[in-house]
Amino acid sequence: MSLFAEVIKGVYKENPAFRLVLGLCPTLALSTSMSNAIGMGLAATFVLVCSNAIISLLILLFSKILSEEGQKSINKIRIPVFIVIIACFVIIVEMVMSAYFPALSESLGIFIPLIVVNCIILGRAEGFASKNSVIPSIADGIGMGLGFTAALCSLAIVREFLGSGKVLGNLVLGAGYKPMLIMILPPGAFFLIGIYLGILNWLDLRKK
Amino acid sequence: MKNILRLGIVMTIVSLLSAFLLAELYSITKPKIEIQKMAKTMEALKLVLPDAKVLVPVTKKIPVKDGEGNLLFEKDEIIYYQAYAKEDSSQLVGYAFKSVGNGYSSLIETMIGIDSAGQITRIKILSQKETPGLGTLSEDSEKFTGKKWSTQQFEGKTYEQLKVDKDGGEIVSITGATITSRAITNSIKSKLETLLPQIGISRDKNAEVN
Repeated sequence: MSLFAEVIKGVYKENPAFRLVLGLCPTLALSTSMSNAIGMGLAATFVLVCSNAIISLLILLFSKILSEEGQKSINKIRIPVFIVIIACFVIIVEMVMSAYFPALSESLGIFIPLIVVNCIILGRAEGFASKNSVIPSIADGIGMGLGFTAALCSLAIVREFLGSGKVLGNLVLGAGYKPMLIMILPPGAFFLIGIYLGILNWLDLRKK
Repeated sequence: MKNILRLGIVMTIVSLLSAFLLAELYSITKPKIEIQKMAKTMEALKLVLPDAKVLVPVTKKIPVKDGEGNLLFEKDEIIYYQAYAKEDSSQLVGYAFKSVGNGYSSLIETMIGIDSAGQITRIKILSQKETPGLGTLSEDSEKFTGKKWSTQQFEGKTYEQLKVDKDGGEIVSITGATITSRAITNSIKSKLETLLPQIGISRDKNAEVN
């Protein structure tokens, strides 16, 4: 598979939120506004790309310096090693964000540290990066990250528009519009993600 | 045995490298984060006490103890700020302090400014994570018309007057978010209760004057 296809796959065919249905907690919680969605999407993308790259590099290194038997035994601690690497990048994101983008870091709150346990990231490390070489792993990270960002944004744009009459924080519907509050509350996220999943499944069925 | 050693070495190396990287980055970002926090506090202080030129923090020593009750060290904590109108720290115009209240779904932090007689000058909500569209309206600081909640309605209020309308007071609460309104009002009130005697303003005299 070409690198470009690897990236595209993450955006549509294997979109983490809509197709793999992974990482729904941040997807539901942080799609209340476009700025939250973009901030969270990019933070997750950074962690995905870096952890995918380092993990595939590490696996490559071990396959060079260790015997077959050694590799097998190392396999036992792969999950703790992955988690340490992922946590390291998440803390980097957290520190940089609160130092340079304090407003964004405040509105994302607890969800930045929670990227550590985001199943998309560990899922890609385990399912892709540990079985592929460095460059495809980076491409996969970019694709999955963009797919996650796109999913968040597609939810956020509708929720922000209906729920507060704003697009990217600018009031577009005027002061007379009475916001559909339920859209920025948790139920709105469930309604919308249900509708999206339904549409995507219907499109798939029609193709067949 | 060889196996366990191998696992240990791999785990140690990965952890050590991560720790080193994070320690380096921490020393770079730490001062920046401190500055950002300070800037936010300063901005709020300026807003609640517009006449102030110089702000002097008044600190209290908070003892930090270990599990057995032995004193480890004393930590300085800011209890309030004294505000002066002139740059040589003369002409006291008021005080500023923070209050924290338990809202509907979050802790609400508020910065409050009072003048030297104990009347509130301005308040600003520093942080809250209340229900979007209801409790979040507590940050509204538009001109107060007497019908809708605005943080401006606290202007000129004294200790005695801090009570929301649902409890028979004068503070107009947010429609659909009485708990939030009450949390903010009561947190200011209880903070004033402990702080006014410390500053040396009598609460009773304060009520009589108004």
